[in-house]
Amino acid sequence: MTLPRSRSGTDDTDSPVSAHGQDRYDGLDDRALVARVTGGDGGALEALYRRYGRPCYGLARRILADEQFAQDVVQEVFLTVWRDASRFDPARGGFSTWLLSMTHHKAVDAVRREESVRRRTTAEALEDRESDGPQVEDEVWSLMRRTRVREALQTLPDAQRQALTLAYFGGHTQREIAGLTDTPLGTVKTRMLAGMRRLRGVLDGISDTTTAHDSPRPNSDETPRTSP
Amino acid sequence: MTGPETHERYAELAAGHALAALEPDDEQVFRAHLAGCDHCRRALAEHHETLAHLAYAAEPVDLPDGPLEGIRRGMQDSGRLKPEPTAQAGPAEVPGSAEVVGSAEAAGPADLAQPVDVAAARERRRSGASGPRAWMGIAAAAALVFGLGVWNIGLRHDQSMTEQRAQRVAAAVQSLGTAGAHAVPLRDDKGTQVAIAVVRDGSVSLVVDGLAPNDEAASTYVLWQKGQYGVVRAVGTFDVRGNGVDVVRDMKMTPVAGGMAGLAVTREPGRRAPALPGSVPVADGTMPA
Repeated sequence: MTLPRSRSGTDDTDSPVSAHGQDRYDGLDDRALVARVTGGDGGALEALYRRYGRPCYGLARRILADEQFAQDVVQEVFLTVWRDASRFDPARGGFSTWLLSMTHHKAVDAVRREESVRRRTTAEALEDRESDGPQVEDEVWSLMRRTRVREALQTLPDAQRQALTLAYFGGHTQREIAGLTDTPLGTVKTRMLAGMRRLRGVLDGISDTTTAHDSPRPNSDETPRTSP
Repeated sequence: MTGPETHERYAELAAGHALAALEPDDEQVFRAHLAGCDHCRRALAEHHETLAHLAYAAEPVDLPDGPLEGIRRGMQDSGRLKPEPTAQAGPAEVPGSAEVVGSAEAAGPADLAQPVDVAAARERRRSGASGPRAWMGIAAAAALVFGLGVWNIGLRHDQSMTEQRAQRVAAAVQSLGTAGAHAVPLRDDKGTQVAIAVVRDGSVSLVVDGLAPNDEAASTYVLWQKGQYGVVRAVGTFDVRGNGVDVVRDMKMTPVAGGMAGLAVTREPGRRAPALPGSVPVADGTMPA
């Protein structure tokens, strides 16, 4: 997946790169920027940060519910890119997918290690909570994307949605989710897979420039299991 | 061991792995299996792609300055930061592909296993928070509060515009009256200014110079106001008929919670504004502080 560039990042980031420099980098696609990062071009990394820093920070903060820890994670994710950008393989997926995946893993790792970080324990809180305070100006396209993804989540059966959100946004393991939801571990595993497949089917209909949605697929079978 | 049951079991492990939700024993089993299973590698890549979409379900948040300062400090400390290139950047060779998947695995298990060093991360932010760059944002903010007069001078020095064009746009803006108004430059995705919104007392006028003409029978441009809390509301519709400077006068705005944060323009099919934007903005801008 290649996500569109976040123009808000360009506006609200104080970059050391001159206006001309920003123009120069903003004309390059992710692959070209990654190649430049590999060569030690700091401006290219800042250009990637302007594009994706905001969704990375939003995800990390969602998982960690702590601004400082979220900043730690985002900072270290981009410095990981800086240290070894050549590990990104464009043949295997988009840069943003790789970056957000790394952000997720590091944030989940942090939430499990830092006892001071509050864990999210209810799916309802994950799905419906809006931010506590005023948000900065929203990008229209990101609002659209968020709306569509949330709509896609709503097409999932409650149990599947709960399993996915507790894992993805809550950083819980399958066994923890089984305990939280009083569900056999094997059923949690089944729900996660079914939810991922169904979500992919719905999200396949989402593009950045259209409003078309695929019709939700019929409810997949979800046979409760009693063993892993 | 083969068969549908085993296949489904690994499929479940792949989903759990992508979600970073496996227990250690399952994680070990799956990693051992993944090394030799192209099917699971593909499935995992698909899961990561799906989850990257899901990341956008998180509520939008302001991006603080801290991480960028820390990133700059980290780059400097690494000793491999090259001077800013003087030549125009062009397509660059993509680095050789490692045998990895397009996901967090691409960072390598060692990277993922490497926890975030909280103390080091915060020290980088503290060290990098000062210096001349911090003043750039202050200077930029100060420039905004001087208002339309200064902005018009800036317009004439906008290198994306010819002098003649800048004069035309400036004249059109001045014709709208500038007392008590805010000018909001609207830029396309390349950063080129394509319209100016002049906002005053609950109404907005547009000076359009750079948007492509639309098919008036089948589409319309829509101006949207963006609220501080993520609310997006249509202000009005307009057409662009030619390549000259167009002025769209006095579109009424309704108050949004928390005040207006910015404006955006989309081109929509049909002749009416939809309830929500149906396409990516062709231009947008942020209200001055």
